[in-house]
Amino acid sequence: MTTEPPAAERSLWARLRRTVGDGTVADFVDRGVSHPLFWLLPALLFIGVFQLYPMVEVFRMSLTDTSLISSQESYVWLENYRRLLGSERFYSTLRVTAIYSVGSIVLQLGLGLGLALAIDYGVRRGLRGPLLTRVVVLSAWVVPGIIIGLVWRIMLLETDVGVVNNALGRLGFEVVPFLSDAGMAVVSVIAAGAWRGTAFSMIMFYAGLKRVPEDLYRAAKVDGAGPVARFRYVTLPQLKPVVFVVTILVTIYSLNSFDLIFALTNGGPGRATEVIALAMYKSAFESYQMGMAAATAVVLLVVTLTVTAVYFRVFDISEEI
Amino acid sequence: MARLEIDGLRKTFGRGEDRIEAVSDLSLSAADGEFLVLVGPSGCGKSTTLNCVAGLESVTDGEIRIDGEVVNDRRPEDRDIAMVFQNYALYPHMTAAENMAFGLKMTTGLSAAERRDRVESTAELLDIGELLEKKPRSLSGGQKQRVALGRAIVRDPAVFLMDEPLSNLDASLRSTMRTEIQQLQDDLGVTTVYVTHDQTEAMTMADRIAILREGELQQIGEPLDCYYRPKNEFVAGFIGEPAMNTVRVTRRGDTLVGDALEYPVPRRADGLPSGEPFTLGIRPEAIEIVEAGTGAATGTVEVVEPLGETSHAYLTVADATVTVTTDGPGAVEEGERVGIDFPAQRVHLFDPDTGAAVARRESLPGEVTEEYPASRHD
Repeated sequence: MTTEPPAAERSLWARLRRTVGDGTVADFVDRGVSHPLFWLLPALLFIGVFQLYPMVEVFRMSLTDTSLISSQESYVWLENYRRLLGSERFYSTLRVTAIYSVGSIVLQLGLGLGLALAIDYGVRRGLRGPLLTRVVVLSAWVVPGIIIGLVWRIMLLETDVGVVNNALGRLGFEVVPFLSDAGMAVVSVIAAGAWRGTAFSMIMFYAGLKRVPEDLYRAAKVDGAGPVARFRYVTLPQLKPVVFVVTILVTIYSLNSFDLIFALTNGGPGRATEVIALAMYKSAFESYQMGMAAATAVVLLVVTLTVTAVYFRVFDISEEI
Repeated sequence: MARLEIDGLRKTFGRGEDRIEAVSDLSLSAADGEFLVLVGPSGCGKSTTLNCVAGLESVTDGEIRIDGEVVNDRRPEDRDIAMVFQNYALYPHMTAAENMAFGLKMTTGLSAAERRDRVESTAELLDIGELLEKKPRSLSGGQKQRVALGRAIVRDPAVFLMDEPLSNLDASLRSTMRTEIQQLQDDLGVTTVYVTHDQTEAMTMADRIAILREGELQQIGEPLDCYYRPKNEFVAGFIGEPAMNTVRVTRRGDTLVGDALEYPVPRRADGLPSGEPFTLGIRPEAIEIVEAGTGAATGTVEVVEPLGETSHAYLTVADATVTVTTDGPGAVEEGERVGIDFPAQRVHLFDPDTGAAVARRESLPGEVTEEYPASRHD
């Protein structure tokens, strides 16, 4: 007797074997490893646990009246949003955030590009100093924002002890109310933020400048382009993708700024320097209204996403990226 | 149209102990409308020289003159030159037309319409009319190189400077472009300095070749002159493919004697002292295969590389490898023992210490001469 299965069965058996393999562990591992999911899993797990889940949880919380001082929690649905959007405080923080962000973006991009150009110029000419400059500027970036806030607060003290006011005093100026005048406080906060963030854009721009082929500059020189024309027609177009990325990142970072302002002014005087992220913190840890804080966070997320979407529209980067 | 003169050019980089002399006391000139090729191995100073002429590098010492005027201190755009770069150096965000018009926009007062006209007529010349609205990244290597050429031509400069413009192209395109550039240069009649490390390009394109080594000029002359009458061993080895064979010989009476080689002293070398060593050079294509035991030497064929019309055979003669270019396939076989011989007028002799040619032949083949009847023992 033969044990050979009939033709139809044979092909079915073959199909089955193809689908499930021959059942050995090696075969199982082999097929698992060859599947994209296997390689995506660590990243998916990480993003899921640390980003997606908290985001969903924040959104859920924004629909409740969760409080830090009560274990009771009930769904109030859109009540938090109604209260938030109906309060004058929200619009004031929105305005401060906008001013702070625009100021930060302009200063960080401008100063970052200027420094990067200076360093690039130095490196291309074999001058001494670019390394030292990079180290000094970068050290501002590696120091935590909260410490920078404190350092600036000490520097800007409105007495003779404050470094800046002391220097101004020696030059014959009056004491400047850097932190107690509403307008000056905003300027101080923007300056401190830019002082810190410039290092980041400088590094990005510098990396971008390194990528510009030297031959393009040589060709432009032969073509008769002076330094300004070379910057305009060679450097800037080549930096466009970097400008795009830096603008987006600096914007997101500015919109979400918290630590430095918290340490420097804590939103004061009054609410002159209270940005959205700081208002959110205060809702959560001073008023203990987690639901309200969560709603603020969701609004901040929507604002950030909107601004980023606008950037994608405005910058035509389809060719470069 | 212009005459380019380089007079005592010296260029050094770095300071103190790191100081490198890239070009030392280089003097040469290109006549109006001449196609001059600077050739040499990498690091020989050819590109540095070109950059000095372009004004992209400052000159340490010496003078560069275009049409008699010293241009050392002029900016590149004030030198009336245009340059073509090895990797094209097209502005990536501009179309081909914008790339070509950029120099005109920067240096002339031409209106956009006038610029456009000039770009279009140049594009027609180069047959790239349909590429004008494309950006460099959608062009092939050959098309990019044409646009880069167009960018130089449209400026209508006094001197073209080309820095290895063909080395990024594949072999077949390279030979097409070679002919095309030559043709263009002929038609336009613009003085051209062309830098390459490829001796084939140098030989085929140049009116004259300047061979450089370690920043020093070795020889300048017409391609065939450099080929048949090299001034030194370096030039002899650098020009010609495959490279010239060289063996150490000593003059003994009327004979040059080397390891397993004996050859009568050519008549033009009669004056050389006896008992002195020399380097004998002979080009692979000058060697004839003769019966083993006859001719100048006998050796064993190790490898044969058939190329179609010709083959390269590598022979072991004593301890040395000798390359021979033979006619067609089948002239010799691997493992065969054969003799080699060569005509006296193709023999080159060099001083073994300085490498300088001694008893150089006085004329090129084909020139009427009583110097060399076509015999071995002239």
